[in-house]
Amino acid sequence: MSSAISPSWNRDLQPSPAKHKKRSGDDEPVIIKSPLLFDMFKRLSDTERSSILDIGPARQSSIDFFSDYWSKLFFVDAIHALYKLDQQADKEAVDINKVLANAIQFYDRQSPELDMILLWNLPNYLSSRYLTALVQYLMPYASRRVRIHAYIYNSEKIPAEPVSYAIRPDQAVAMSRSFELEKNCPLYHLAELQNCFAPFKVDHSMILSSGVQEYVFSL
Amino acid sequence: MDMKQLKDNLSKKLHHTLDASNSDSSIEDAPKKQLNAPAVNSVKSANAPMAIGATIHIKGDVTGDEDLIIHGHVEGQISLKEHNVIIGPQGSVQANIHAKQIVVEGELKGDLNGEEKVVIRKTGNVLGNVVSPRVTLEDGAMFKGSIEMGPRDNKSFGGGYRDVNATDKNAKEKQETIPVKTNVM
Repeated sequence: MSSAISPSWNRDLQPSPAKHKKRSGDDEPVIIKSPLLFDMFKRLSDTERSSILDIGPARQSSIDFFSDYWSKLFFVDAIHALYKLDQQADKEAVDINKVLANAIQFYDRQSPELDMILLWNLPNYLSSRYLTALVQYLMPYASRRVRIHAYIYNSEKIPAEPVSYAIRPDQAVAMSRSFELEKNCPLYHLAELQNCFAPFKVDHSMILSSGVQEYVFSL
Repeated sequence: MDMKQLKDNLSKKLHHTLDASNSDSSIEDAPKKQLNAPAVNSVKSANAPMAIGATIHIKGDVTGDEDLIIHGHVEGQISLKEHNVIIGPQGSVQANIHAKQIVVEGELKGDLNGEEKVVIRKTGNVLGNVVSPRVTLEDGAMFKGSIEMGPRDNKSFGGGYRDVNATDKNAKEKQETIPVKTNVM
């Protein structure tokens, strides 16, 4: 099985179909250090259960990482669904809460009280209206000590579709390369982000070497 | 061909068959071997796992004392705590499953309680909650729901769990396959 050859975080990052010509080594993910993310993970414990929502797809690397803690992982695989819905022409007419409920779809009998929410790069692909609605939708599921983590791009152009992230065992994150055409970045300013994430406030923020800014929000 | 040659050939064939059936293999290997299984396991040998054929539709609770392979459709509850359950690529299950090891190659809507291990293969599509000390998700597997992993010292969680002094070595070992005897039809 090929999975025995490469580590799980690398297997998890299958690049999207190439629209641009790829060069040798382009398939390799970009490794980024993400200090705030791993600082947040220090709150995890093996004596107290933590509930973690990953808005992205389920990944073996995430399961491997969190298996060292007493944790309950919720994988909702909603990034692309929400992004596509936000692209719809008649989005003003739709009931956002219904859209979010369909996309996030907490499974029956789940009543999570989330301690961490991993949004990855989703905020860059949502309009401020959808981002605000997403935060409001998640609010009832949040515990008092919840932390929300997100990557916000600072560059004017970003990959046309959300790229994948995978937690690596060496305190880093592997980000898949994108060969898709680029789109304009919403370039959220701090005040705008604060509005979208209200009642959450920026707890910490740090610009990473890749130009991406990571944020941790808390109540 | 003389009698001696005939005897030799028969002897070789018999040994080959016995070797194949006696070899230890993981439950993870079992579904691949089962792909060519008949749709309905009408004649079940003594050690073969029970199979629910592709055209069978069961509504209700399934309990028993042997391994189970599902190629058909099951709605209800499946409880085989001491045994393994495999949902084949054509299998479709809407049930909560409690078993020793659970492998999903088909569709499942329900909760999975794997005393030892849960494996969702690349063709698997699961909507539900998983409770198990070890969870393997193959590339391409679809999963929506929750995965609960217990504290290191909680022995009651999903059956045996890692001990308090679990080390990184143990963490690596948990990735390895548990060898269990699985019979091939």
